[in-house]
Amino acid sequence: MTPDALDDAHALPEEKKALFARARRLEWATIAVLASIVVVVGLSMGSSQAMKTAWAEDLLSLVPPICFLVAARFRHRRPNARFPFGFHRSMTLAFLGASMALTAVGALLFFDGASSLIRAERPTIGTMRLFGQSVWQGWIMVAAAVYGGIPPVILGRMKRRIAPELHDKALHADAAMNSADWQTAVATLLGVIGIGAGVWWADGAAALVISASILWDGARNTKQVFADLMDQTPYGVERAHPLDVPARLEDALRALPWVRDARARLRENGHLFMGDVTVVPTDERAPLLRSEEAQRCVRAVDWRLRDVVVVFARAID
Amino acid sequence: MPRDPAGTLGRVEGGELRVGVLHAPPWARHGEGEPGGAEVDAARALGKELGARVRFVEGAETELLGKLHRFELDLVVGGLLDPSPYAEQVGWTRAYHVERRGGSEKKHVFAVPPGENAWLVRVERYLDVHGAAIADAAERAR
Repeated sequence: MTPDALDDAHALPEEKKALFARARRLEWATIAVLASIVVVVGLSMGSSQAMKTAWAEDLLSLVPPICFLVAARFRHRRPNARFPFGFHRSMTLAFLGASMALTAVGALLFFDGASSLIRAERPTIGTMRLFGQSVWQGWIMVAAAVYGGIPPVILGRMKRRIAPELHDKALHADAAMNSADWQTAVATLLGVIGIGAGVWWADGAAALVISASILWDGARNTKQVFADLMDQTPYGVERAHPLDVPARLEDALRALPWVRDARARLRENGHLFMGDVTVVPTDERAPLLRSEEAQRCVRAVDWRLRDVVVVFARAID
Repeated sequence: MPRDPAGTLGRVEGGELRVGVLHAPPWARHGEGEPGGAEVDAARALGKELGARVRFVEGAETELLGKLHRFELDLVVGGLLDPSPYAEQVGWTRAYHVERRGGSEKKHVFAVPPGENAWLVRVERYLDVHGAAIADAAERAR
């Protein structure tokens, strides 16, 4: 009783398809902007631990958009004999990889930064030839950090607006990472200006703050992706609260004249909700008609509901 | 900006410039009498610019770079090249001269104490002006 499986492959309402195309364009823009930041920061980082850590973060920020775009090619494929539930979860899998990478590299950078602080390594930063002038490289780092801090924040805010409408947690987590880039920029600035002021440990301290933020991003995303893979009940994208979709679904079904009771169990499957509802009818008449009516009822509750199996039972245990 | 965490530039100006000299002719040499060579002459001239007495300490690379790392010297000269196996231990100037022979490139640098950025910037400004002359003097002495 799952007519949805053969529906349009996108499993997105018409008005959301344009939004999804916009998300893809924004992710391409993110890759282009971040790649330019990686080059600029990489050329100017010198021996600053904070710059090195910020550079690693910029490089890592490329992974979620790439995952999004790769998974975007798979997630709308039609279900087939081998994968009868479709490919909507490909995004969750891509995101699992990205989160684990973030966690591992964040931890690595944290220990790297801590050990350089403990060994009291002093960052040595001299001049650089620029247009025939010798310029202290710290000023160039400041410029690079400012450049690395502004465009991702703008892109992050744009993506953050559409992620809840597409119920796309990967997009949202990616946008949240970009939006937080200004904190990295500020930490880097403080580190480099600290070096300039003769406070050698400012650089290492800034590096620790940045690596902690990478680690935090990774741990938070990993936790979220684990919960999704454990078939957690649907949660909101923006706020981490359980959604009231199961309750609304049960209410909608109970409102049908022939339904005595109903119980819904839902899980997230990519941007969709799947699961089953157990319906207790008042009597045993017209099972096919009622089943179809129940399906229509399910679809009317929320656009994200797909492949929801309706089971008739004598009672709910 | 930048400033020195250990105040090297401020101490050298009008004070004493402690220079470690490696034996690497024609760049620097020691053994008989006063040390000499193109880079040693440059260190003397830099000391003069800063109004500092110049004291030379002769030794081998590991020993002198170790002293530099512990802030017991302010500068080490003597045919030092970038990259160095001691890259992380001390600070280095930009290459003031790139020597090209056959297919290989030798980037000549001076070494400074780690993290003394005002001092490093001062030494690099000196080398910006006089780097080519140091290389010429070494070339003539070969």
